[in-house]
Amino acid sequence: MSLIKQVIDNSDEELRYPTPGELRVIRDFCKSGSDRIQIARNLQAKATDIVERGTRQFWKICPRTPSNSGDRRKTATAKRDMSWYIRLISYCLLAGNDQPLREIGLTGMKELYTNLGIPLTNIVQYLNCLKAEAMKQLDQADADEVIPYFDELIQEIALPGPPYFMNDGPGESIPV
Amino acid sequence: MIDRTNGGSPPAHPQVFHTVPTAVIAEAEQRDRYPQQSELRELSAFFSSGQKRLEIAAALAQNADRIVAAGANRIFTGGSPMAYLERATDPIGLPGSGYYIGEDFLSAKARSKANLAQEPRSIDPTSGLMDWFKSLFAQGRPNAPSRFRTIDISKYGVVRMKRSMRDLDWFLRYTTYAIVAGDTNILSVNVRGLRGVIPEDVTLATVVALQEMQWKAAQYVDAEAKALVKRYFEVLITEYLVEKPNPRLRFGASKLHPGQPLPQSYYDSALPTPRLVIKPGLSETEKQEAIRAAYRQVFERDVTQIYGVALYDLESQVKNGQLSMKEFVRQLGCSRLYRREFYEPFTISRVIELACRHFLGRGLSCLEEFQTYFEVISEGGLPALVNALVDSQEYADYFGEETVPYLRKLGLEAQECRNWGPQLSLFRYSTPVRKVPQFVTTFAGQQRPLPNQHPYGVGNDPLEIQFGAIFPQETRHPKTQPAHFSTTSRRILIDSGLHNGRNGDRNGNTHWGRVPGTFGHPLLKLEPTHQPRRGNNAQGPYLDVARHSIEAVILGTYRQVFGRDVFDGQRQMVAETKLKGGEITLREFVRQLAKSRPFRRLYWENLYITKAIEYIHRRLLGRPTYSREELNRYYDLVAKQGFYGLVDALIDSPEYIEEFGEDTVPYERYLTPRGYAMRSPQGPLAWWKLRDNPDIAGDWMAAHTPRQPVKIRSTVDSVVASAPSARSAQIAMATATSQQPREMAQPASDQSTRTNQGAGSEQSPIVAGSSAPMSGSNAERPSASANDQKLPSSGTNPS
Repeated sequence: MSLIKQVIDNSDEELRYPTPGELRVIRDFCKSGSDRIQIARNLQAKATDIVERGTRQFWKICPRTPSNSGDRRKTATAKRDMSWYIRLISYCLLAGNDQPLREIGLTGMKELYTNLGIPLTNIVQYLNCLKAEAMKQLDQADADEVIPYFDELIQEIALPGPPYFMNDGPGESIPV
Repeated sequence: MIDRTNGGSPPAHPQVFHTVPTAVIAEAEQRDRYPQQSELRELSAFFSSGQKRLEIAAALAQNADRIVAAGANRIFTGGSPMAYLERATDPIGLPGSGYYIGEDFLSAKARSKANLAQEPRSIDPTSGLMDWFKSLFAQGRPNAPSRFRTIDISKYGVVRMKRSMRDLDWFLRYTTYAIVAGDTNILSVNVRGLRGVIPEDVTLATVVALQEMQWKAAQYVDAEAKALVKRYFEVLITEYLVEKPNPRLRFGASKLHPGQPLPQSYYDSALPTPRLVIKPGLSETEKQEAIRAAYRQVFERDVTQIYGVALYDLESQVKNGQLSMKEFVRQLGCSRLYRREFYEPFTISRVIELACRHFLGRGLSCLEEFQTYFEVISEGGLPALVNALVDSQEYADYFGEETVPYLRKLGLEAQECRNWGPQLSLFRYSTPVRKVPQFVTTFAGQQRPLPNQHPYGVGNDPLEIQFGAIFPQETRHPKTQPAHFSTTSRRILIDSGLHNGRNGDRNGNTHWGRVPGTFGHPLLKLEPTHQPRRGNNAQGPYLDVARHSIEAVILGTYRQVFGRDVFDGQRQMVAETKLKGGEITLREFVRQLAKSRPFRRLYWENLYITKAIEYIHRRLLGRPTYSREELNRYYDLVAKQGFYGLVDALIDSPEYIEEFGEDTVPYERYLTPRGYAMRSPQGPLAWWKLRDNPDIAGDWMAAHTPRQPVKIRSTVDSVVASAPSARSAQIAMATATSQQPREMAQPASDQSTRTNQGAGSEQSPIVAGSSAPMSGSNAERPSASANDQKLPSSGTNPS
């Protein structure tokens, strides 16, 4: 689900042509297209670095955690998950909205961590470290684009959702 | 009772079309990598051409009417075809209309303002003439084939004209969407096969009109964009001319998995899924990618980097062609890592579900299939299961020797409706860590009798009056599978045993349950205050202590209708006076109370509609609603006639007249087992106990063992004192809920059909015996005003 798709879906729902306002949104999105691709590339180039340093930062705050227990597999798994998030964020940059993050990434993640017995606070802490690291690594303009997605990720995991089923448009309704 | 079993279907919105960014992202995501250079270049080209495409889209949108008119004028004669074009009539309130209902209600001024904001859509006739004149000399205007004849509007008919105009408009609109999306996918998905549903002669005309529109649309854009517009229209026409494609068939592997058709358009609209194969001629990187995909399918994640389990010799054998992909997948399934990850931590049922996903790319389909594999795994262990799956006919049909298994999701192939819920959630990322088997619980749920809950929803009856509540607290034991109630299935209701003086049926048998607290509670009846005349002598007033004073009746009516004693200010003095004066009957009095302002405020204004109906129903008719069907009737009534209509309908209903007549105060006749459990002193909802509301009352009742043996015959006093009848009713409930559905489906006797379908009274002789003596003694119980205080109103008091 990208921004363009959203616009088309909306106007199709109402049996009309895309309004000038919507076209303007898409135009802005297209104009910033090359910038977005560049940011995604930058993020991709720095991803391993961000994860590496973010993990070290996280261990300073939270030394007693399975990923720091010396088990190399656990460490690697944690790092893989985090770099997975960063990859999703790069998808979001390309799509122009947070739908890829939601559809691929956030569905069921909370349940996953709960089931695995990983405290959610640790995950939030970890993501915060990554976010801080990303701010350091990327320059200001890039970071401005990337940080909202980090924030959303953190909020989604940190905050309890409403205890009912939300129907937020196309896509499977997600119990949150 | 129709009983359709399924695993629940979360709303599945199939992909309608895809755009360039979504396609790129999906491709990258399925291969677990960042977008490649080539993909980024494609995306970049899409972005840079965005400006142009949006200009075209804006131009087309602006001149939409003219373009459609040109197409229509080409094929229709004898009138103005545009007069038949209907737009969405009233866009007010829709987002994007510039006017949102939520802000202020539709005042006349706001309405006219919004109407003004709409563009006038009539076409200037002079410009139309000019256009026509110009078009005579225009270049490149498409020629119609010689066998094309124009259609006369008057002969064609209004309805068909409207349809045709709508379709032409629709074609243009979708072309615009496709241009915005930068992908012709939306056209091919929606247009392909349309010709199959339109008669042949009209098809030719449509093509002519489309070509005319193509030509016309090109007039409004500059030279560079012309090619683009032309291309999209060509795709449109080509796709339109395609015969209706055959639906894609899902292979039927056995009689348990019948083949199923999937419409071609669903298949086209699905996101492109890479099918990776290993063939001898492939390059090294392609082979490597296929091997990674196999790891990802079998282990659900990228294990090579993390676990360092690259099985080098196996991999090299695959690359050399010594080992086929099928054998490689089999080896992965038999590996130590698979055993550790997907066998050891889980129960057998879950292992089977997961293996089915990993090796067949789908979830389990039916109980029989599960049983087959269960037998395999219990005899031969995990390797036998893996072999059985990989050697199956289905694996051969879908993946063969070379293809890497993939998830066969919605849109890729036809899915069985019965397993949608578990199927879709099995494809989620977090599936392996779910400890509860998804399919097996669904299959087991199909064998159980109907749960004791309202058909309205899953856990929507935490308090008995709260059913239809839309905020279930399902954090601890989430149940994704809804109960399969149909409109004809009814709730089980417990009888209060009071039947307006006629307890039980003619044989003296009462029903098997009793509402605690109502037992022995006398009926309040309005009886004449004076003895009837005997001859010429007027007898004095009744002095019989067994009768109720009119004041007691009035108070009792208030208690029943409002659920509690009312404050002085809330009493309806006028109605009371009329009742005392004999001007109105008690039924009329109840009606006036129900229509009074305090009642309306209490049970109507603050509640959402389901709950309001449910409350009023219980207050006035003395029972919960039976079924969804009944509730639907009330919804209809409320929508058409409102609150007063509902009250009238209830009080004028045959049921009310039969049960309460003109002179009896309504009383609580039936109760849901859940409410029953709540009122029981040992119930799960007693205030000092932790509230871990079980899903269904039957759960609790089945688990609950009575501490003392049930008294078969008990006197009235002991019943009132310690309520052993409540216990016996619990047992009756437990037996009733553990009945097989076959028995529940049997036609019950006429009494139980009316009261509690599904658990006929003949199934619990204990209770039938125990309540027989009560019925006899109940009638001759003297009145005791103290008993009035036992009205079971506290449990249902909303305040």
